Amino acid sequence: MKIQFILRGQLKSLAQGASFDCEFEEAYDVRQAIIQFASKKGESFRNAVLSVDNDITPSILIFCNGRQIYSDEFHPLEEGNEILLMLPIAGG
Amino acid sequence: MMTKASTELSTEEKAQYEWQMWVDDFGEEGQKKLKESSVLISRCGGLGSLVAYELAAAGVGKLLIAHGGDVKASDLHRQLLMTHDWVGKPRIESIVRRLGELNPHIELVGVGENVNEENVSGLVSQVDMIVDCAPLFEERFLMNQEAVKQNKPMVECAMYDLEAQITTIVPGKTPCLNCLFPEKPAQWKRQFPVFGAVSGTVGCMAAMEAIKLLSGIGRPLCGRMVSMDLREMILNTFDIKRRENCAVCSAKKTLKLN
Repeated sequence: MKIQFILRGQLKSLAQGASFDCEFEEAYDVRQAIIQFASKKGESFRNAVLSVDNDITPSILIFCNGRQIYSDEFHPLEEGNEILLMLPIAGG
Repeated sequence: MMTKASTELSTEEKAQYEWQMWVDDFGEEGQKKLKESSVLISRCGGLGSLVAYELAAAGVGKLLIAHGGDVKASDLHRQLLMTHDWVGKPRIESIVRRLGELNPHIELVGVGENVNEENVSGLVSQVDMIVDCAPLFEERFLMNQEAVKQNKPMVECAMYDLEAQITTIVPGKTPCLNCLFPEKPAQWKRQFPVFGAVSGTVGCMAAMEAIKLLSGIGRPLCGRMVSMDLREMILNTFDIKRRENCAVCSAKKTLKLN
């Protein structure tokens, strides 16, 4: 199953890229796919997206094909889905 | 939240706001609503400077601005209400001076400290709505809690690099900040890369959101978030939803407390 990850903000720097095409052998849901993706993107990216117990940090915005998904929700993936990840940002 | 339009406009005010009163669904009634309205802006840096400048120019009757500290050289590329001659002096003085030069017809209240646990309730109680421009999530969460508690709308804007986000929070109707971000993000740093043109872009959009909310025109970003990537000039609008178990705004939280 082919999935595209789109990254915004600090995540682009941490992953050294704004867009990644991924292929998953199994039929993951959004949550599983993010965990799998983050686990392979280096320590800094992983620490920004995942908690110490390898779950998705709740303060991350997730959109699957434009639909918002909270990190503790089950949302099945379909071939060609686009997952957008955004970390919180502020002002200054 | 909407105010009654009973305040009359002076001849000078009518001349000053003439072009925006030509906007069909705004008109003189919309201008009167702005004149009777009040907005808290916290803080008044890269984002807040533009928000305050546009709201002052538009004739919002009272601006309450909370911003501590002294002007630094590194403020000047984005904090457009600070001036080079004021480096080392209180930011709030520069802010109030420049806004007063722009529009002497509005009330400007400068508070030389940032939002904190002690002052947040009093500050929010003085206004109709809030525009959140703070750099620290501690301040943002405090204002969100108080906005929900006092049932005041809050425009939430943020920036990073060449990107920005904006949404409008209406307590009880839209997600609050805690719905979106239930925990303080560990990776957020007080200092970060950004252009003044990025803060200016989203600051102007936040001011427009405030004008829409206060005057009743248009469709505010309630339950929607605009995310923009100015590097690629991509703007996305996403529907966003409330978190059922939100510790700040959910009904379940209230039941739990009772």
